[in-house]
Amino acid sequence: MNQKAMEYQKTVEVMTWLLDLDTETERKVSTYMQSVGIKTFFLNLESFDLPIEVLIKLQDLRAVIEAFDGDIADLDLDGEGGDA
Amino acid sequence: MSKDLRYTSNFLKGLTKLTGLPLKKVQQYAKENNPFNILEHPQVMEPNEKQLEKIGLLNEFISSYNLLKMHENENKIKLTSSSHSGQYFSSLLSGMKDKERFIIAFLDSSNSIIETKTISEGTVGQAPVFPREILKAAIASDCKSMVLAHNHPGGGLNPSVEDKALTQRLVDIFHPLDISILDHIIVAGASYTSMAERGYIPNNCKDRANYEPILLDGKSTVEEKSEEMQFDPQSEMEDEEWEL
Repeated sequence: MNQKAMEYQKTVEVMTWLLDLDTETERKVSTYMQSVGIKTFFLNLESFDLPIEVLIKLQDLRAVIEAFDGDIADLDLDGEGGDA
Repeated sequence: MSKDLRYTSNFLKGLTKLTGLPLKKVQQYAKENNPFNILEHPQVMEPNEKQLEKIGLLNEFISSYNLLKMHENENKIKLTSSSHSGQYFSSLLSGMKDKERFIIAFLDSSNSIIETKTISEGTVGQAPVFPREILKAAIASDCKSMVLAHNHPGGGLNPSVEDKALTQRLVDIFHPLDISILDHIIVAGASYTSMAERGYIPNNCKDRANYEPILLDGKSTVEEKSEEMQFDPQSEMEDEEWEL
C-alpha cells in the first residue's frame, strides 16, 4: 500500500469507528474516496452506491465539516446560519 | 480553531447525532458560547465516556480530512485516459439507480481535475442539460478541456442518438473557445462505456453554437424553468457574438 492509500485508509478507519460502519461499507467508502478524492466524495455523497442509513450518517458528518471547509459549505444544505 | 467560523443548525444536529450529546444541551450552550469549543474542550458538555470517545474521533477525522484535502490540492487527480475517466465516473455515478445525473469534470492543461460539477439531475429516463450552465461553469473554472459523464438507470451501455447529439452540441459550443471535449462516459451500474474509445467524440463543429436546453431522452428541447435560465435578449446578443 502506498503512502496516499495509507492516508485514505487511516481516514476511513476513523470514519468507521465514528459512524459504526460495517466492513463492506468501509471497503466501499475507501474505494470511492481514493477514486474521486475526499472533497468530491463529500460533495457528491448522494451519487454513490451506499445504504441509506450510511448516507444519513455521512450527511451528518458533512454538516459538521462544512463549518470548516468553505468549498463544502457552498452546498445548499438547508442550514439556518448563525454567527459563532 | 477560529472563532470567526460560522455554523448552522445542521452543524449542531450533525454534532449531536455523531457524538450522542443531547441536542438541547448543545443548543443551550451555543446560545452564549462558541459551539466549536465543544470540539476543542469537550468537558464543557460534561460528556460520558462514549460521547468523549466520539468527540475525539470526530476531531481526528477533521484533522485527517484537512490533511487529505491539502494533499489533493497539491496532487490533483488526473484523467489521462478513457479508463481513468471511466473508473472515476463509475464511482461517482454508481449509486444513481433511479434517476439520471449529468456530471462534468473540468480539466486544466495537464488534464488534472480543477472541479467536478453536477450539471443536471433528472428522472429515471431523462435529465435536462442546460448548455448555458455548462458554459458558465467552464469559464469560471478556466478549464482547457472537459470530460462529460451521465448514467443510464435502465442499464444500457450503448450511447444513444441523443447522447451523440448532445456531445456534438457541446463540441459546437466549446471548440471555438479552444476547450476540448475529451470524452463522454456513460455509466450503467458498475460498468461504463467511453464514447472516445468508440470514436464518437467529434473533432470539429458541425453547426453553429446552440444554447437551447437539451433533454437526454431525446425529446428535443425543454422549457427553461429557473429564473436564472430565462431568456433575455442581451444574452442572445452575446451568444451571437460568439458564433464562428
